[in-house]
Amino acid sequence: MRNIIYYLFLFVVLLLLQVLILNNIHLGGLATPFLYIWLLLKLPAETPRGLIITIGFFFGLIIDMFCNTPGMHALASTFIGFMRDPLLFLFVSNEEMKTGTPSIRTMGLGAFSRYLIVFVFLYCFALYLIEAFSFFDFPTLLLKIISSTILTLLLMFGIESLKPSYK
Amino acid sequence: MRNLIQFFVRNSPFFVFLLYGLISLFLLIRFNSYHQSVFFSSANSAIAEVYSVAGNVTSYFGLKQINQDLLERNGYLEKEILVLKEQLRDQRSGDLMNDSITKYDFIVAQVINNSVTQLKNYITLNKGSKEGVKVGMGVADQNGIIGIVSVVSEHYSVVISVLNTKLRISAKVKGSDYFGSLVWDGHSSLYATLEELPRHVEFAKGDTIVTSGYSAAFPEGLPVGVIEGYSKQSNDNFYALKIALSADFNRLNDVRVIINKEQEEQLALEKAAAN
Repeated sequence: MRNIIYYLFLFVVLLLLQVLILNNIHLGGLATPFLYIWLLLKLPAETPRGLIITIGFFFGLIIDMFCNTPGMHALASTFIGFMRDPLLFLFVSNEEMKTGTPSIRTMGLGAFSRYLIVFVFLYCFALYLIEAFSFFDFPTLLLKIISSTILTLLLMFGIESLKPSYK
Repeated sequence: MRNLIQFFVRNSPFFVFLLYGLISLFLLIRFNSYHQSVFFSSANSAIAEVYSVAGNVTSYFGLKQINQDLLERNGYLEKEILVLKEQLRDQRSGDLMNDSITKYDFIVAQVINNSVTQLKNYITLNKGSKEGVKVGMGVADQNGIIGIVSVVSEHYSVVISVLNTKLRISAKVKGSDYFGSLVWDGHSSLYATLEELPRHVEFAKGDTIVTSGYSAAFPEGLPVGVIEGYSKQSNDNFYALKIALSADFNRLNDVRVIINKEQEEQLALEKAAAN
């Protein structure tokens, strides 16, 4: 129960942060941080896959309604919700991590970093590819994907390092 | 039958993914044009409310610069009034104040949300159908044109920004009568391109680009931008001009929605002619 309230709180905070502040960031005309997928990334390992995908879809859809891009974020975050478990268990074994949220503490720095990097990259890749659906400029597309991935990762590592590392 | 059910249960995440994926794709294709839905956009009242609260805070940023712009514009208009008054006195013709001036009216609105980072950018305003905003009206601020209204709800409206790869606006070099269409290439929020301008039109770097008045949304002569450079277009008969936009899209606050009292008549006539 405490968990549900925590995630609801996280949802509201991430939503407001994303639509009111982060969406206005446009470093070098290219990079926008997408912090909101943090929620999907951090859902406990025991969360049913269907639920992760559902949360991904509705979170993306709400972001879309704010951005006037119906379907764009929804599709990208549905995709990343679908990919989350395969990605997570690519870096930790199923026995190692039956429960608990993915973090440096539970996964170790190396595995968590790899999980984070691949997750964020895949998301940015999907999102910008969907955006480019009707408008194709390959070098810019690639630059956007890479710079946004790096910026998002920087933010995420920053947040992760702020948390107290109680044992 | 049991096998089928087992198949679905075993692969259920995939089917959930498929379901949401298809819904998203449907939304993407259905609403990815001028015709947006009021529910799935920031004209939705709950979402506009959030932006409205945030806009109350952010509208204080950049006030100094906006003030400066307004003062300059004010000075320019005052000068224009003086010139016009003089002409009026010279000609003594009562006709000068007719049509072109009284045909247009405007509604002042505040920008409550704005983006410049996407390929298809939209602006949300705090005025809607109740205040008289209608789909297809032009929007400008003190510096230049901003976009065209695309969705209207009761108290809010969404504007397709000039910084939207889907929007084309008819514009011309000030002083000439040849027009091209203004499009945005999706790169910088400071520049747009004026395409399809005939080769023989004379222009120089630094010339002003204004609206042509051919579309029903904007009156003739609203500032659009300044010529920054040019290149030949692929088919050689046209120039593509690089335009430095007059409006600063990174800092929009108060804008005017332009009401063309004869817009409906013009559009109906054009539609009838096309048929």
